Amino acid sequence: MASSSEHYGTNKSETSLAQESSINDSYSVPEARFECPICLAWLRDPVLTSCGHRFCRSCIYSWLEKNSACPVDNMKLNKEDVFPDNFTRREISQQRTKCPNIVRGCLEELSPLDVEAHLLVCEFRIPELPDNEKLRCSFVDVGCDDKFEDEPELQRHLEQHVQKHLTLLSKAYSTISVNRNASTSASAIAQQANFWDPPSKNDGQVVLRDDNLQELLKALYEKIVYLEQKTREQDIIIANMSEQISSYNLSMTKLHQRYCNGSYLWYFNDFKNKLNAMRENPHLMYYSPGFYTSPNGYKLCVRLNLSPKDNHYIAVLIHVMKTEHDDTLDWPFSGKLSVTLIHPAQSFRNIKETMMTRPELDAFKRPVQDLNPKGFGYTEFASLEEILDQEFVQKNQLVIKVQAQTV
Amino acid sequence: MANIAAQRIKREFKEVIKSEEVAKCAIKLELLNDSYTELKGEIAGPPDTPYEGGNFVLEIRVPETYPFNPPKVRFITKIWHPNISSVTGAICLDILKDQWAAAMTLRTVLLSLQALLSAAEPDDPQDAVVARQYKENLEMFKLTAKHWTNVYAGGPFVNSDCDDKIKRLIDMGIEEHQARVALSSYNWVLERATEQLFS
Repeated sequence: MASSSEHYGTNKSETSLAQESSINDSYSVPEARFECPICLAWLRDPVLTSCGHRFCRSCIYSWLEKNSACPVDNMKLNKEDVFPDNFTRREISQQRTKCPNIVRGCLEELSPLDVEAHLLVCEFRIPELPDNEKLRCSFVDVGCDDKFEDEPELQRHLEQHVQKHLTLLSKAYSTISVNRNASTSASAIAQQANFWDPPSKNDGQVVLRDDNLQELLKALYEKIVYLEQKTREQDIIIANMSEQISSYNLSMTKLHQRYCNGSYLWYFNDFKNKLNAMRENPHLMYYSPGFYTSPNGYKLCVRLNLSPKDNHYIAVLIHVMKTEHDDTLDWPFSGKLSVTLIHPAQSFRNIKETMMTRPELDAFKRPVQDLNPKGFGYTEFASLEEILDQEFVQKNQLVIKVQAQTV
Repeated sequence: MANIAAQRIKREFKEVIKSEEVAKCAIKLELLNDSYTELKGEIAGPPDTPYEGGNFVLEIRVPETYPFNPPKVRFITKIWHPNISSVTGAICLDILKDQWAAAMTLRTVLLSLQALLSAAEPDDPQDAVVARQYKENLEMFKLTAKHWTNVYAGGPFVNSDCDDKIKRLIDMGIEEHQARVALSSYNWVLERATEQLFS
């Protein structure tokens, strides 16, 4: 089977053959009548079957080792029904095809059967390229160091290593985004400019631009993902901070109330609405936040409501409140309390009342509840008429000043 | 691998890439390694069948003795078909077995498989359960095949009744695919599928 071994032997040049085929396909894809249906190559030692099909001798013999039907039409077929087809053999041998290396100057004309053997020894075959002339992977900038002999090989690499390239890209991207914080990336601007360039008239260029667009899109998608994550992180940080700020504000107010040294200003906001509410509901009372006579002193608050006896008057009373350090204080609370209704413009109009505590009253005893239910003050502190006419209320706000001094 | 096999696949690969079926997106062929022994095929579900709109992925292994022996082909995409195992994707098709001929190519194999999807052979089954349903309750078979095409091959027909029943079984702690197989095998009668799953 000398021909058979030769057949297999020549196929070893397949790699170079596949590359060359892009230059000249005519010898690798034979005309249908010269093609063996089994190996799909030029008929080598062609034979004809009784059913009228041509094969390479070695191909059909291999098939008939185990089968007894024609591979094409499934007709019964044995080795005895196969005859050498010398007519076709002569025709193929008369075929002349130019060496695919003609582009590099080889003028050899060969039988298609000899091309593969010739290619191995053709003096014009592509030499093994020196390292620096090989094609670099298009992802060389992000760290793919692979090199290739020619375009198809590169193309194959690009198709097969998408995952690897994506990983490299995202790595590169995270480095870039770190740098970008410091300065606006010039390359990003360049890329953007590229994006808005008018489309080139050259078709090849358009394809290239498509590639760029794909790249750009991919980069943009990655960027979006990155930014979304970043936004989420920032949201969490902001939420934590605003929580912290509001807790600071709260403790600030508390501190303020604690360190007012018994002199407290109560800004009674939204006066009109509150007044109306109190008129509708005579039992409605407003309390100020608690304040301290000294940092570790008594805690008091102011109450404002309409006088139950005459609802043309407002009542202003002081209540003693419970603190965590009541144990350290002397009870009942004893001191001087003055309440001033501040006139915002003319201080001589201020309504000021000063009173001394009276130890026999429940209002000054140590509070059992959070707020001592009994208060002390004036149930008819000022008439609403006076308050409104003399413009105590400004910007819908009434200001009450309380000064408490322990004695 | 014998060179003749690799050489053939290379030539066939070119043939398929250039073929009009690829242009029409009816079939697709991809190389999975450099030695041309493993390929990935894809066929579109033929129109006017329950498989319409689905894309079915195939695993193709080329033996060293190719083309004197057929390529080994199985469905990777799960499919409900009398001649294809719903479990392993194994295919019962004569040309992939004793009726193989050396003149056949991967392109003709893919086209034959597409034809098999249009014309099942329930009398020569690979999946006995599916084949029985096909013969006894053709409408039920079509519904099931359509549902599988929707779920596994990206087909467009959503069957919310099937989805609901599967959801019920999932809620009982059954894995989704297992639930689908049980329901498919028992004509989507929830009680019978449940009974089988818990017996």
